[in-house]
Amino acid sequence: MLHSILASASRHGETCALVDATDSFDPISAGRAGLDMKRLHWIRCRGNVEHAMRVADLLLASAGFGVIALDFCDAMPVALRRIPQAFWFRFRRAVEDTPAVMLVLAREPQTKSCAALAVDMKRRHVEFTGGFPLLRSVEYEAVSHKPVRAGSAQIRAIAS
Amino acid sequence: MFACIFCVDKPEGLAMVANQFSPWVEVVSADTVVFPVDGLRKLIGGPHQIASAIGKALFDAKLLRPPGIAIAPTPDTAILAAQQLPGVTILSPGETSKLGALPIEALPLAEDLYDTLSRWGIRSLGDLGRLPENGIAERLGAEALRWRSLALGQLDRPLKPLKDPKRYVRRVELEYPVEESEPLLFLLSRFLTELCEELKSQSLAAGAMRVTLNVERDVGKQATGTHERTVRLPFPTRDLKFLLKLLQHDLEAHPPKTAVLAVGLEIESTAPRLLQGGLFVPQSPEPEKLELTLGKIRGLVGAEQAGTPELLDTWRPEGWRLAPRETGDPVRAKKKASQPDPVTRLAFRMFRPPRKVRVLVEAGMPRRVGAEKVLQVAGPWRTSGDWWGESVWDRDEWDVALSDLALYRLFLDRRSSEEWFLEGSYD
Repeated sequence: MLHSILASASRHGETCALVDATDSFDPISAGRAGLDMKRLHWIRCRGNVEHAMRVADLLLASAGFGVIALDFCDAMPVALRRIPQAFWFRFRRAVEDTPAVMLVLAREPQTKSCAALAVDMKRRHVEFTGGFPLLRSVEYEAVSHKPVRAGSAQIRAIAS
Repeated sequence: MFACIFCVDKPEGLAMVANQFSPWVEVVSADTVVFPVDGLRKLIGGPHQIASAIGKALFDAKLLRPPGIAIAPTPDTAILAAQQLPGVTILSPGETSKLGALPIEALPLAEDLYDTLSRWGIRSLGDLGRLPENGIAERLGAEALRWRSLALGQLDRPLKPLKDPKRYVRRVELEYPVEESEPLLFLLSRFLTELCEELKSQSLAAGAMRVTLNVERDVGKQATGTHERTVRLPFPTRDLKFLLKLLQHDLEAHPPKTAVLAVGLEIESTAPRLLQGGLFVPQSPEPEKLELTLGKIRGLVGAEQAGTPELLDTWRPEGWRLAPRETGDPVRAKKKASQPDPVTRLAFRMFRPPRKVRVLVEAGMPRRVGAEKVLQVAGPWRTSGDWWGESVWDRDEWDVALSDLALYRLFLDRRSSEEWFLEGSYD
């Protein structure tokens, strides 16, 4: 989902920033998803969640970004629990009157009431095909928890 | 358009006169200078007014011998016209009549080429220009083709201006050693103000800044060392506040270890940036603001940890590098946004460094990764390369779906034989 959103924004000429808390972004697979690397600022925080939050704060203050993504998927839960909720409120205030999108990825909900949209991605099926097996695709179910009228969608991601 | 002044009298004053009209002056010979005049149209007027202004400047500089002044579309045409036609000559693009009347001797031709053209009955530049291009190229070669283009006033080339010998430097010896950054920034601010004014007077901008601090080698001792920092700007600018902020961030990230005894600042000059904004260009951060933000971020996470990824032409794992983004030239959106890819591609999350795992292998295939059973597996994919260098790799890769629903890329490092690693997970 992160790659698709970044690719879509970069296709429309927007500048994107990825704050990679655990240094897990793979430019090669992002390139295959259609991300224009020239429009991406990638900041690697090497596991330091505090740095990631401060970097996100600086990027929001800079203004003009189309997408600012914070990737906490592999971050230590203990470090994530230490993030004060006030940060998220401040980020929301900074983003809400701008056309920018702030995207937070994590295993557990982080932004809580500050999020305008919360989507839970669940892996449903992995498909291997052929006599000499190949990883073909992975099916996900995207369940929206916020706004209240929850909906779901099936997404099929093809291995390339 | 280019203007050329040809004057055999007091040639040392020529470049100074030309500098009154443009900072980019090519000194062709001791008696000839050529410079661009495109930017003077709004300031002075058309070619006739410019030629008149040049004549007045020459008169004021007491260059009494009647000079040759020519304004032409290319530098070489202007030089030829100024040297061969007396008085003021103005050639508009495509005009060949004035040059065509000149004798063939006006060109500095090699003797054998001159003999050949004379035997052919070529007496003037007009005659030379009328010869067919392909025929000249076949019979006389590239050199003659070049002279033909000059005879037609079409020979174009970039100007080779004199390198600005001026160095933009300021330096001061301090009366007592300074340890805090605030007094240093105060001095740097003063230097920057003066240097930016100088750059502005020359229509130039800063391309890089070099701060040289003479520091005490050891605390309290007289011996000195040097602390040098170079800040390369992503785009040319002479914005004082922006430059000072950049220096401040750099000095905060790399402070001198001991007290400072002398401060020096040098600015590398370059041509200023010209940008045309657009109503329909998507939003992007202001370059100055973005560079300051990136400077702060680099100070926080490290200079090598922030940038724009560039994919390398290799099959090597992690075949990319992080490059600093040129913030000065905003990447313009394509006129028509390309169609979105209808297929969602599977994303991959890297483990950096790869996680070492225990793998149970049966019949050459991984059957268990750690405690988890392998449900589905694809592979092996063998890759190797760079055997001639230090970044050699040689490995077998598998895609494995485990009983805990995880989907990993697993690899066996063939160089260390039995070591298995998880490279990352599909997400």
